[in-house]
Amino acid sequence: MNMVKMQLLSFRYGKKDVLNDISMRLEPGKIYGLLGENGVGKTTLLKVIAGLQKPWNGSCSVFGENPFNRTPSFLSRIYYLPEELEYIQNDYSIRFFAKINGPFYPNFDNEKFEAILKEFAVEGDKKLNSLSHGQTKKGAIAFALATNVDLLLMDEPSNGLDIPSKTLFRRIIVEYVSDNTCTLISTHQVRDLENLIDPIIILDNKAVLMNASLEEISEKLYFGLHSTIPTQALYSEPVPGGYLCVMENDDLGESKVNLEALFNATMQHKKRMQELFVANAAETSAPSLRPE
Amino acid sequence: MQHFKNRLTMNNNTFQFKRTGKLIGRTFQQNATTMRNTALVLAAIPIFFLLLGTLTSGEGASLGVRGEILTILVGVFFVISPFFFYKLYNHPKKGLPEVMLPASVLEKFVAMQVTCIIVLPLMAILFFGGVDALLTALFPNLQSGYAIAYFFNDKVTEEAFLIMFLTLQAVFFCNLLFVRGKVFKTIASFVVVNMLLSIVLVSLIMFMESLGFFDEISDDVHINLNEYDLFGFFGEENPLVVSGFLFKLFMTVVLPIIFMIGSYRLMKTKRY
Repeated sequence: MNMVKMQLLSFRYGKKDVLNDISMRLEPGKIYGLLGENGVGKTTLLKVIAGLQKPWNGSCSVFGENPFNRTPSFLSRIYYLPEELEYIQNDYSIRFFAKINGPFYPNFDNEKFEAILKEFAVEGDKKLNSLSHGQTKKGAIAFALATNVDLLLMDEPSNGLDIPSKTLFRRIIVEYVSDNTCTLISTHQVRDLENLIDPIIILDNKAVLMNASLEEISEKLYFGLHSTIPTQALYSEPVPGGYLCVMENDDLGESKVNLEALFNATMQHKKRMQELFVANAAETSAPSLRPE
Repeated sequence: MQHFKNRLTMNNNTFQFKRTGKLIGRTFQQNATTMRNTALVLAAIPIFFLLLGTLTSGEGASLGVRGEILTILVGVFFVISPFFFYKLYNHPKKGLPEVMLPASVLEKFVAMQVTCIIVLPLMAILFFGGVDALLTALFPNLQSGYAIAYFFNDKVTEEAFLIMFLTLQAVFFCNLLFVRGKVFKTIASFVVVNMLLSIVLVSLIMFMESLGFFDEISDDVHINLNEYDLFGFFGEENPLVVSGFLFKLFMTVVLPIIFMIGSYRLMKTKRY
């Protein structure tokens, strides 16, 4: 069952191509990580899914609907948390924000909202325009999670959070996201989402380079520490004690996926990565890759 | 009636009274502080005029003055209400809570219209008119007559309402059309459109005159558009009267509808 289905979706701002022939499917119950460098179109992709932008070409279907129609049945099942918080920085508190907006979401859970506020230590009655950026972001995240929607889109949610809050954010996401919710988190700070996201989608200028689960990635790629750089290494970086290398997994066994190394390896070997994971997509029913 | 109601609630994605009501309630809650402050200022104006009048001339302002102030307030509030309540609706970042709120565009549009047409003008009537009436009742020797009665008896006409409604719809449309500098751009648009319309009309009349169109018309013809009901019968009249009537019909009925459809389309197709 696909919650989101994109087929050959293209988008451009004026004459500038942003997304080109993107095909992708998202399934419920998973926390997708949308990775990519700045300006590759992560936010645009989220906005297309949220119905805030209309594709120039191709199709995007969410819950079987065209998101740009912005019907109540669609809007009540989706929540988009933008990176910038201008939308929420008002002369009222996050509790008030929840009071006036929560009733529009049929599954809004005020107890959950309060529990997350408490865990994040957010001052729920303080005016949002007087809270710090981090506190405001935590309040916004608390509301987003409390809506209990089927599709949760978060654009760079860890931006502006301090290190302890980033750890707390990962824990809260795991704890409070409903089992059937499909969560799509975009970030260019891959370390922030380590141990949280699975599957991984890597977006490059105009294309999806990878859309695969961690299991599939570790089947196809090997991440290991070596004293010297092996010739077959796709990517390597010096770390204390040697080199962290990414190689194609030719019976090298299982290894823990290092997101940052994976991302860098993908950026350096785009075509090979697409070949590896396109073939993989054809073999399994897991999230698909282009071409569909 | 029940069948009609069922049809309206059956298709949840198009229109539901309940959701529309919730939207209106949300607008009240969201603007509660500003509305309270506005109400206080409105209530203070008649008191200020009474005090000023008493201190300077020994009695409050005349009924005419107070009635005209109420009329201006209602008119201004009627026209500025889209900016007052929905200035951020189409803002690329600040407008997100509105556009992503689970309700249909039609419900949002209706809720916005209802709020703009009723709430702010009603506030002016209730708070200015109410306090004015209270002061008249309490201090009959200082001021006489009720501004609210003056307003309803002398100022509320079909003609005035239609002109105000047209202006409101034009402002409503401009509020959704312009993203930044809305107030300035709206005023500038009004000025430009009025100038263009005046130039076109004057040019047209001059052109018609050059063709000798007015030669056969007596100088004594008295044209009074208000003699005709909006949808009233008009028969074999002077072509100028008919043209004038059609122009009036266009301005008071067709144009507001065009603005409303335009506003709805802007809401429906706005990209963020």
